[in-house]
Amino acid sequence: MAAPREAGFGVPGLVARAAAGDVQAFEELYRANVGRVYALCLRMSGDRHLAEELVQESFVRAWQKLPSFRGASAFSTWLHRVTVNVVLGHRRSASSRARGSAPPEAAEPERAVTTVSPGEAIDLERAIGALPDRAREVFVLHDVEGFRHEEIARLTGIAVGTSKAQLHRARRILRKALAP
Amino acid sequence: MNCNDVKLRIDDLLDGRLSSAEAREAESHLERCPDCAAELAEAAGLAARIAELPQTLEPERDLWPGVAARLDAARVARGRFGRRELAVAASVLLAAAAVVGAYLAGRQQALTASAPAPSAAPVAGAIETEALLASFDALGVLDYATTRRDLLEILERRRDQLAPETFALVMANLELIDQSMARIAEALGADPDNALLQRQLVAAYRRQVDLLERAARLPSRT
Amino acid sequence: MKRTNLRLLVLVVLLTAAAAAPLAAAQPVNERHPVAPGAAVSIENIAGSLVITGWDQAEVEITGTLGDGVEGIEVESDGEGISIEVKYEENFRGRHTSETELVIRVPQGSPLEVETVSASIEVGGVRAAVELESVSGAIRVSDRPEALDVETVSGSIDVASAPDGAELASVSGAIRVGSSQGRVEAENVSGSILVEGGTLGGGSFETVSGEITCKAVPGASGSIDMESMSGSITLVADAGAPASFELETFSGTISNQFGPEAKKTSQYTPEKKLRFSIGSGGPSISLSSFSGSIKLLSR
Repeated sequence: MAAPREAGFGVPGLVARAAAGDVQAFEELYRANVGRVYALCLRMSGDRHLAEELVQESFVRAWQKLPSFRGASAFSTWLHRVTVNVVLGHRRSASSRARGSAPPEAAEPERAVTTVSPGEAIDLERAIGALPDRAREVFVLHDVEGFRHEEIARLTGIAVGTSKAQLHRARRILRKALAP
Repeated sequence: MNCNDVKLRIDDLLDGRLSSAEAREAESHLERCPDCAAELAEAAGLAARIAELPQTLEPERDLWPGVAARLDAARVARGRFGRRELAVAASVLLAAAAVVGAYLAGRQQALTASAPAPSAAPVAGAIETEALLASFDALGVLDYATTRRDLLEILERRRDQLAPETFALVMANLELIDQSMARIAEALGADPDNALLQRQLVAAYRRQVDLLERAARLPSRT
Repeated sequence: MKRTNLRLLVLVVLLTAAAAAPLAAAQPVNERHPVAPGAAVSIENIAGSLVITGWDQAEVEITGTLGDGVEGIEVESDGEGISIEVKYEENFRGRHTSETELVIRVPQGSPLEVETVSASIEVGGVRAAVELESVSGAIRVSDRPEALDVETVSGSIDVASAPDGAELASVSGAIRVGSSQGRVEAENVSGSILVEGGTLGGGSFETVSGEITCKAVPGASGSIDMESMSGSITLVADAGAPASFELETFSGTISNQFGPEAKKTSQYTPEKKLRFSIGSGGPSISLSSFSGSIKLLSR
């Protein structure tokens, strides 16, 4: 009868409770998944403050959509998709508003760096943060999150060829940035 | 392939997107060309470092209060008493291994007792696992085992917040339902189409998930 | 992105007795707070006892004593509701020599929500919807609110008069219902369920190993479903009153003072079934068990 020790997240019981409106259950889901969601938002946006906003927006969106989550995939996978859509949606609305301020890649790349990664990873995180917007998105989705070019093209609305070209560009910049 | 062709294809080579003919051509060039080989090594090194990036990064501040403040107030109020909704979700559950085991045991007894098959067909083989699962499925029981395990996990994590006698009482009652389910499943194995037993088994699942779900959100004693 | 979080709240936070330096045992409480018409009242306390009574004033009145380890009572209110929470000291290590015993008067038209761990709850005179939850405290509702939802684990539930749609759930605690105008749902795992009599609109009573006894039968349009696994089921009714019955058990016994004998339904299993009607147009009554005995007794 003893419960297994290892924590399996994506928990249907929790999800069912959260879908029924249980905030405590949703907080547990939040605690279990925020690291993953934040990593995605931070790397995709390259901006800590924006990433925090995107994390919150993603969880609010997930809360609203939870009753329609059918459990066809793991909760974490579903949440991941919700987050990608929130991040890309934000980027679309931001670029359509054509903000006059400097584009994120011109901003201080240090902001994209968190304190938890060990030395080498920090350099890589910093270099990712400094990539041009589009290249960074494609790179993070493909190389870090494991999406295929076809999926990236569908999600971002660019051609498959463009996705490949942006990935190539991103990797080239990173290699240069990280060369000893 | 010349150096230029190969350098253009290094990404595709690493991602496994080259045809085998193209890959062989590129590789034979790489064996001869230290310049291109160095570039491949650099690209592979980057790929290795990317693979080592942590999957999770913790935000520097707690973002939950900002999320909580925006959750719809109406759904918050409903949620505390969302037991019935959960019961509906949870009544769609899959048989736990023990229950399937009891069912099989009952089935086996019934088959050996009532109709000695002329060819002495292996009894266990007579029951296709898939057909068995499908028959449980027809009762509307999916994912029962996972739901149960996950709720037990939550309960275990909350153990400190409950009085020891409360925890023990919940566990004793869970066990009581377990035993009931095993007995019903065994009878159902002997009589798979029995509507009364089917109803009773589904009711037992629902009751157990109900109990676990309630226990998982009991008020804390601290 | 900013939405309802800036809902304007008039927040009143009062910490009674928090400032009183050395905590004497059993400090008395006596305070009143205004409540907006129809605003919900929510009360939380861990241990001790809570007696809540409805009255005709637009105020909440809290009287009684605070026991050892209690820091004070926190009251927060806005236009939609008032919340009353007994706050405990975080690291109380002393002995509990006195309990927190509170009598709280609430506007009779205010919806009420109460949550305790081991504190008992007694509610009377509240006309609006009532939701009560406890882990081990006994719960008693002495007259009929508009709606009722009660949950406990090991505490007993005693409802004098259940409203239509009442839901009563326990794990091992006994559930007793005096009477009901409408339909009542009661379920537990190992505790007993007793419906005393009077009138009953209809009901669903379920247990695993507990005993179910029902001494009331609904009117013509009503129905009762009683279901148990190993616990016994007993229905006591007036002989001759019209009703249609369906009794079913897998391995239990069926005894019937009203109608025919139960018949076995299969030569391979012990299953028994009994279906019969008395008169016509009566309520439908269904009693079903796995191994528990089923009894139909004449009053």
